[in-house]
Amino acid sequence: MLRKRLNKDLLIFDGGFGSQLQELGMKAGEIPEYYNIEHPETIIDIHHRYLKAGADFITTNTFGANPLKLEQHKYSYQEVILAAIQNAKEAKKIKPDAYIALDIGPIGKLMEPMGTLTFDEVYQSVKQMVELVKEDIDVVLFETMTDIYELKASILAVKECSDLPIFATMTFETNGRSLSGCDPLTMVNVLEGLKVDALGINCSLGPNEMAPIIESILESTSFPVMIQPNAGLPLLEDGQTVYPMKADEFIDAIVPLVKKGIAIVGGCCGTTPEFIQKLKENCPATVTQREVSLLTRVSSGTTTVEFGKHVVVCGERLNPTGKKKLKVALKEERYDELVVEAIKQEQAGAHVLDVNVGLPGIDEPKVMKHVIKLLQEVIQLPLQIDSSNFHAIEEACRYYNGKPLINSVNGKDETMEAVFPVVKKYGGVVIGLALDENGIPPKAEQRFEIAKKIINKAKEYGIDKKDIIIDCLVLTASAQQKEVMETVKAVSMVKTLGVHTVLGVSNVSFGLPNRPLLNKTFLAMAMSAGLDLPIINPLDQELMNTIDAFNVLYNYDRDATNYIQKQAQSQVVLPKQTTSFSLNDVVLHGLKDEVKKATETALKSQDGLAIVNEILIPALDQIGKDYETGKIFLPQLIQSAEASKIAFDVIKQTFKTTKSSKGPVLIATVHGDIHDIGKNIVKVVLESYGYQVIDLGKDVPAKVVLEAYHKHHPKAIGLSALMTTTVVSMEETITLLKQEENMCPIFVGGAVLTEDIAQDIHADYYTKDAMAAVNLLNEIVH
Amino acid sequence: MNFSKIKENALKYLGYHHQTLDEKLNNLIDECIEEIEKMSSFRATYRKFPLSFHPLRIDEISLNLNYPELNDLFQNCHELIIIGCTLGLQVEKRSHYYSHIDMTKATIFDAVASSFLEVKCNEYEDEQLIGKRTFRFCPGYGRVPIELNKELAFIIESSKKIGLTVQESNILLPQKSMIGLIGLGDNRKEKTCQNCLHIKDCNFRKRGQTCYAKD
Repeated sequence: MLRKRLNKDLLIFDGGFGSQLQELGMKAGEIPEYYNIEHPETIIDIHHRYLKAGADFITTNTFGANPLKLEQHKYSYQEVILAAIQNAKEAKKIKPDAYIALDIGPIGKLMEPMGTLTFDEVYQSVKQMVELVKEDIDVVLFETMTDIYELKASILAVKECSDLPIFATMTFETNGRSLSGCDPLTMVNVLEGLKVDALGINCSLGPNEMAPIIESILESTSFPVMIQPNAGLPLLEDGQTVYPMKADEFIDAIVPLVKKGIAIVGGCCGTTPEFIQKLKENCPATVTQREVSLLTRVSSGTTTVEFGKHVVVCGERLNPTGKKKLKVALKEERYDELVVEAIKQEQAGAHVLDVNVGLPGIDEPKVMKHVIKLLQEVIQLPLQIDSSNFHAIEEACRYYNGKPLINSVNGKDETMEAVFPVVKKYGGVVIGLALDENGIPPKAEQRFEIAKKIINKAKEYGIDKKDIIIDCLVLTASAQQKEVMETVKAVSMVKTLGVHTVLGVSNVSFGLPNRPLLNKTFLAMAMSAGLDLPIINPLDQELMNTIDAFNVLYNYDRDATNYIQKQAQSQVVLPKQTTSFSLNDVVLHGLKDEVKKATETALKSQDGLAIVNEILIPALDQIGKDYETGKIFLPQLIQSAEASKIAFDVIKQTFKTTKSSKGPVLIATVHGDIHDIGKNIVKVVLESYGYQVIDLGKDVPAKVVLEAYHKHHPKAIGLSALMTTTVVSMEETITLLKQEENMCPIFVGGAVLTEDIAQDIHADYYTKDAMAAVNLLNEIVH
Repeated sequence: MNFSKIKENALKYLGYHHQTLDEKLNNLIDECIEEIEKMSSFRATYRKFPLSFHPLRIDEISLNLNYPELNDLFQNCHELIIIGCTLGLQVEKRSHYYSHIDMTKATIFDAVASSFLEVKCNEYEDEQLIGKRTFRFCPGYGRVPIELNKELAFIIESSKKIGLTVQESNILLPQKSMIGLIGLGDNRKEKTCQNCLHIKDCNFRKRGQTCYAKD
C-alpha cells in the first residue's frame, strides 16, 4: 500500500512532460491534454520512457484538464481525463506495480478576493475531476500550486469524495515565496493541518535554488517531503525557454538534498527520462529519518506565527461585546469598519486578530464567513475564529485562508464533541477554556484537571497537544479578588503539561478605576507565570510596552533589538504641532491629521449644522471648482474630501437625530469587474459632501444590487465598470433594476464609458468623474 | 530604474498639470515609488513568431491578427513578439489595503504602480529586443478586441510562467499587468489617438498631453 511506504522507501516520480511532448512534435499554442485523445501513442510512449527509467509513478497528462479551463473547448474535461487514465493504464502494463497519480495543476485564474474565482468553484472543479476516475488512480497530485487557498479548496474536495492519498507541492520563486505570497513554513503548516500524505515543492527553480527552501521544509515538518525541481533555473533566450542543467549536474545537486530526508523525488520542466534514470541509480533506496520538533503554529495565507519564540499578542478589538460602534456597524452591514479596526491593530503590532461577530439577531455563520473573507484580503495576520456557534466556527474554518486559532472549546464533552472534528478536519490550533458543566472552578488545581481532560479528549480525535492552547480564565479583581492569583498559578501548572496558554487580560480590572494600571501589572505577572498569548487591545501602548519589556527580560528579544528599535522611535516622536489653521483651511489643504481638532474647536463656538453649511460646504464647493478648473488635481481633491469626511463624522455625533446624512446612495463595481479605485474615489468624495454611501464592493452580481435596493431604499444607484466587457454586466444590472417600478436614478461611470454608451445601456446619467457625481446628486437627491 | 520618468508619468495619470505640488504630496509620491520598488516582483515573458500577411496572422499557432490597427502597425514587420509582464500580487494587495485607510495614498499608489509597470516593461523590452521594433500594442485599443488577451496569455503561458491570469471578463490579474504585441523589423514607435474611444472627451488631450509617452 502506498501510504505505508511513505517516509520509508524513497519513491521516484517521473520528470518533465511538456518538454517531452515538444520533443515529440507538440507546437506552441497546442493544448497538451488533447494529446491524450489525438495522440495516445505519444503519451503512452512518454509514460513508458519514465517507467523504464525507474519511475514508481505515472503522472497522468491532466495538468490543465479542469472543467473551468476546458469549458467551451473541443473536448470536455471528462473526455480528456478518461483518455489520460486509459493511457496511464495501458502504460502501466509494462510495470504493473507502478502507481497512477492524477495530476492537477492550478486552475489558472485568480481566486477571490483578488480575482473572481470562488472557493466553491475550485472545490467543485476538483471534485468533478476526482469523482470521474477515483477508482482508477492511486494518488491525487496537486503540483505547481501558487495559492495555498486554492490548494486548500482542492484538498477538501478530494477528502470529501474519496480516501485517496494526496501529494501537494507548491512552486516558489527565488525570493522564497509563491506568486501569491505564501512562504514554505505557511505551506507546511496549512498542509499539515489538512493532513495531506506528502507535501513539498516543484517547478520554477532548479535544485540549487530550491536547496534552502527544501532544507527549511525538512526542518519544519515530519510529513513526507516531495520535490520535483526543474533542470535548473529557466532562462529566456530569444523568446524560448531553456533549462540549463545537464542530467549529471542535476544529480550532483539533488542527491545531497535527498539524503537529508526527502521521501519522494522526481523532476519538473526540462528534466527527461535520463534524469530520472540517474536519480534512480544515485539516490538511496530508503528515506533518511529525521528528528523534527513539533511547534505550535498558526497561519494566514502568507504569514505564520510560531509560539514559544516570543509573547504572541492577540488583538481583541474585533468583538462587538461592549462596543456600541461595532455593534451598529455589524447590524448595518458596514463591514469596512471592521477591516479598518483590523488594520489599526495590525499596525499597532498585534500578531493574531480575534474575530467575533456574535450579536443577537445576526446570521452568525453567514456574517462570520463574509467578514473572514474581507479581512483576509488585506490583513496579513493569522485570525482567531471566536464564536460559541459551532456552525459559525465550521464555516469560518472552511473558508479561512490558512490555519486558524479557534476560540474555543471547554471541558464540556458536548462542546469538545462538536468542535474537535472541525479542528481535526480543517487543521487549527484550538483554545481550551478551563471550565466545565460546573462553571469556572475556583482553584488552580481544578482548572489544571480540566486542561488535562481537554488535552486527553483531543488526543482521542487525533489532535496533538501542540494544537491546543489552554485559557486559565481571568476573573475580575473587583468581584473575586482572592481568585486572581489562582489564574496565575493555573498558568504555571498548565505549562507543565507542555501546552501554551492564553488569557483575556483586561477582564481583571473590570469595575475598578485606572484599569490600564491593573491590566499591565497583571499582564506582567501572568507572562512571568508562562502566559504565551495575551488577548489584549494592541492600541494600548502601555500594554504593548510591557510585552516588549518582558520579551527583553525573558531573553526572547535577543540583544533587545526590537526593544531598542521601538524605544528609539518613540523617543523621536515630537508632540503634535498645533496649527492655527481654521477648519476652512484644514479642509482646503486636506490636513487629515488636524481636522478632528479643528472641528472640535469650531464646535465650541458654532453648532454643527452651521459648521456644515457655513464652513464645510463652501470649502468643498471651492475645492470642487478648483478641481474642475484644473487649479488642483486629483490627490488634492481626495485629500480634502477625506478631511471633510472626518469633520462630518465629528459633527454627526453632536446631532440628536440619526438622520443627518443625505442619501443613502448605493454604489458598486459590476459583476466580473474587480477594478474599484474609481468607485472608491467616488465614495470618499460623496461622503465628504455628507452623503451616506452604501458600498457593495466590486464584482457585484446584479441580483445583489437589487437586493440592496430593496433593503436600503437608496435615492440613487451608482455603477462602475472599467472594461468594455464588463459594460455588458452593467447593462444587465440596469435592465434588472429597471424592472422595478419607480426605480431610483442610476448613474454610471468608468474608464470605457461615454455619454453615448451610458445612453445605450439605459443608464439615467453618465458621470465622468467623482465631482460630476457630486454635482449630479446635489441636483437630483433631496 | 528611471525614477523621474516614473514620477512624471504617475503625475500625468493623476491629472497633474503645473498645479502647486506641495511637499506632502511630493513626499507621498516618492514614498509610493519606494514601496512599490520594494514589494513588486516584476516578471515578464515573451515568445517570438514569424508573421504572415493577407490576412495578418501567425501560422504556427493559427492566431488571427487581422484587425485594422494591427495590419497598419505591422505591415513592414517580419516577426512578432507576444509579451506579458506583471508587478505581481503584493502590489495589488497593498493597493486594497490603502483603499481602506487612506484614499489619497491609494490613488497615488495606483497611479505610481501603473507608471512603474510601464517604465519597467519598457526597460525590459530595451534589454531584450535589439534592432528595429514597433511600439507595444495592447489589445482593447481601437478595433482590436480585448478578448484577444486570453489567446495571447495562453500562448505565452503567462499564468504558469509569471502569474499573469486573464479573468472571464478579460481583465488581467494582477491588475498591474500588461499583454502586448511588438512587431520586429520596423521602427514605428509613434502612437496615435485616432481610434481611441475618448478622442472627443479626453482630459489628457485637453491638457495638451497624451496618456502614452511620446518619443
